[in-house]
Amino acid sequence: MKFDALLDRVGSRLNPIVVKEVRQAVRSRLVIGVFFALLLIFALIALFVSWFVATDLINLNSYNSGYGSGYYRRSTLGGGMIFFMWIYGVIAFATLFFVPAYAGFRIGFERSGQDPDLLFITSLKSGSIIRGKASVAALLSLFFISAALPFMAFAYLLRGIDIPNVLIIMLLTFITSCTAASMSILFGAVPTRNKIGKVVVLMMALCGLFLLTGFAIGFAAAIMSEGGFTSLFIEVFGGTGSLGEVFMGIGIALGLGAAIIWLCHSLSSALIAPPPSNRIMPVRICVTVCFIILSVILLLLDVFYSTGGGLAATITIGSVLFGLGMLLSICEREHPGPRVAARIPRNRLSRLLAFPFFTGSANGIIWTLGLGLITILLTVAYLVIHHDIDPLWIIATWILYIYAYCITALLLRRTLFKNVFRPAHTWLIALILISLVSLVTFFFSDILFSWMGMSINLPYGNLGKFLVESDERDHLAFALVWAILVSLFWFPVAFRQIEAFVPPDEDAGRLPEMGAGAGTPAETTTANADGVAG
Amino acid sequence: MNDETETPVPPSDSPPGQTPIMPPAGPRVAPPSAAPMPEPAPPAPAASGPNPNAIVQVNNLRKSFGNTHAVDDISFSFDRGQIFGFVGPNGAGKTTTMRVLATLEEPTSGAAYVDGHSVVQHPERVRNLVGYVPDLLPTHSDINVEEYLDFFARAYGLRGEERDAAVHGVMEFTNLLGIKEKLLKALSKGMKQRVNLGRALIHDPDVLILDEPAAGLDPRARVELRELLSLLAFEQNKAVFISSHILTELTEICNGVVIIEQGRLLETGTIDEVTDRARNFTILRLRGLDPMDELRRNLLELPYVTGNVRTVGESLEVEIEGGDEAAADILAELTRRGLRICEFRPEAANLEDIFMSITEGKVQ
Repeated sequence: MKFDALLDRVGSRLNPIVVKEVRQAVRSRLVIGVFFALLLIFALIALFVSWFVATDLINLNSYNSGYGSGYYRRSTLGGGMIFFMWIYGVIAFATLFFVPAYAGFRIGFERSGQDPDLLFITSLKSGSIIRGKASVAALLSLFFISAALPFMAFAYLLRGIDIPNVLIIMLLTFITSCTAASMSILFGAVPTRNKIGKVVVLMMALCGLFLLTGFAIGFAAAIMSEGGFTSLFIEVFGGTGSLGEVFMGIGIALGLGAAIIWLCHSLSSALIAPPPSNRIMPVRICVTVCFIILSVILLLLDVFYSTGGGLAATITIGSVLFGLGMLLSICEREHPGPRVAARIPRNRLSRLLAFPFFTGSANGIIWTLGLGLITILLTVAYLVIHHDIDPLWIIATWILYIYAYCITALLLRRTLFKNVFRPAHTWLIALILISLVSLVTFFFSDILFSWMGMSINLPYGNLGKFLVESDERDHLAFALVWAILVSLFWFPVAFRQIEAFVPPDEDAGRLPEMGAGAGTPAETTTANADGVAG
Repeated sequence: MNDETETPVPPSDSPPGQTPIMPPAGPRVAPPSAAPMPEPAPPAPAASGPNPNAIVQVNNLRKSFGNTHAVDDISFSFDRGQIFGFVGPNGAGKTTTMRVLATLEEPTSGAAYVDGHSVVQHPERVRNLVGYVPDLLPTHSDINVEEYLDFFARAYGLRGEERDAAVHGVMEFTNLLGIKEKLLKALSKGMKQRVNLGRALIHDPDVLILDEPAAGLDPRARVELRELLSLLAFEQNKAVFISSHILTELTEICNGVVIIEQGRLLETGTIDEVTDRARNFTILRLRGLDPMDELRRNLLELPYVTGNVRTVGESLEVEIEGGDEAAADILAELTRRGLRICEFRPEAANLEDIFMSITEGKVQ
């Protein structure tokens, strides 16, 4: 009785999305059909492999064909391994293709109706909706994996694969399935207005899932060929294959999966959240935390093991994030809506810390500059460790160029193109500007001057030239001057936004007293789509 | 002002014993089949202008999408125990206004309050007070009626016995108990609309906002919906805000009305107030023996005729400025012109006439 009561209490506290989606899944002909089809296929595979082994059509044990080495050494798999690979191929399709596609389709279908709207007038938040959907995908994956486990045990009996390797493969498959489901949910959450857009998103998602399924099957085959996960680990990463190293490898896979899942969830939540909310905050927090953790880990690895590649990759990721962050930030409106403003912290220090994480162009630009600073610090660390100054010049110039271009685009949109471009399209001005400057400099330097027989190189502002030529210092000086100039114009705008970043009065949400003008004390004025206070 | 906003006394002709035991949440009255329909429109209190005691207040509300002003400076209010109709041509801004009240949209400027809570500053408080029925029916697949309502009860944070009672209460009220095991996709439109209404009532809100709930329903389903809404407003003392294109239906159940066009407020107030204000024009129904076009041409030449001349069967309906005196002058002038009039009937303007008179059919 007590147990029933406990179950009831737990059930009551479950995410409502999980309860609803599980109910729908177990009633769905598609899900149940796939499940029974899996069982049938597993049984048929077991039957055929047993028959082939019994009639000596295939050997029970793997043997060395005598050709090749390493990965190709065990080119002829035994019956147990063949059985495992078949079972794994089917379960990989179910967990890495079907389950993520099902999760993505469901959210995409619901996005086209008014269902999310109805959910947003309840106590549910967009984050819990996405978490609920992802949890159900994880449960479905577990459901399918659990159906395959008895057959995996049979593969062990057929001397195909040992239990620890089965568990490692299934664990990694499960993590990959969760990651794929989160990515698929992200695709499903992308707002598409026309059929072409829907088809493009669908094709991208399906191609991604196909690739992932193929990769997973290949990975499992590699484990089989190498005679286990540890052997494959030594083959790929080197080392001694100690338990610690294996756990570290699994840990890195888990961490990477968790980071991708978190990022996908933040982005999906932002995409489905209603516009009058601070949608960008979870995304910025996620990117900041993941980037800092990644930077610290790879920096430490570089310090202790001199694995320069990891740190260089992080610097590259930082540079790409900086570019994307700037392009997105300049598209944001300048003042938060009243609903977002109501969530601005009242404490001055908290407000200062919260500023880069709130919606708003100045907020976004400052946050992105923070990312840029971390990236610069990483290049300095690279310089100290590897005594190579080139990355510092390149990254500093890149950051200054992107900053200068984006701020110029922002200023142009605010002044010359105020009635032509909406704030959301400022990225377009930035890209046109980059293309125009690159074309003009290319025309003068490489066509006109060259035709006139003059050897004048005019590379400034040309991102293409900057990336392929090695005159970073000239570019750096030019980009620095340009960045300072545009900053002089942008700082007053940013300062006004910082000044306006204050919460409304405590009584702003209360109904005006009788006698006061209608709506006077609590009257709201939000920035309209043009970013101009209405 | 306060006197005018007194809650109307609900009709007391429901026999005792027909009201089921009240659940902790969810509606608190018997299903429509069990209770006689309350008086359609009891003497309504005025609730048009800004009224600090009204449960819903909209003050100078504006909502723009880019350069389009979907809602342009509208103000109105209504109170518990009232059914307020929201009328306007397609694209007038009705849905946007309702979405602002349901906290789904943020106003560009102005304010809206539900029970004193701003929809902008305290949307989460407002959500607990508002039930919203959009103009689309539920589309969930592979889920039955009870599970659907249970899901929304969970989503509103109801737990344990409270949730069970709310789901049962709502199904009882909306007459869904008999079909609780049926899948949503197998339901008729009328039943789906009942489920929709049940979903909006699951957390027992004080204000119910319904966007075109009668669209596509058959006559029986409409009557049943009307009965449910009357019970909610007049017996449960909820405020009901309903948009509809079927104006005659609104006249039958509404205490008040808000009329908008192109996002602008044209008229608001109780039905009596609005019709009183419309007393300066009269609707004439005429039938002559001469060709209808000739009668129409002659009518349009007369000074009292506003220009709204409609053909209704074999008669013409004409809107004129003024009352009986103007009607008499028109009849005299038509007779003087030699037109043979065999039917001439001045009629009081109803909601439909007022709507046709003050709107121009413009969309944004």
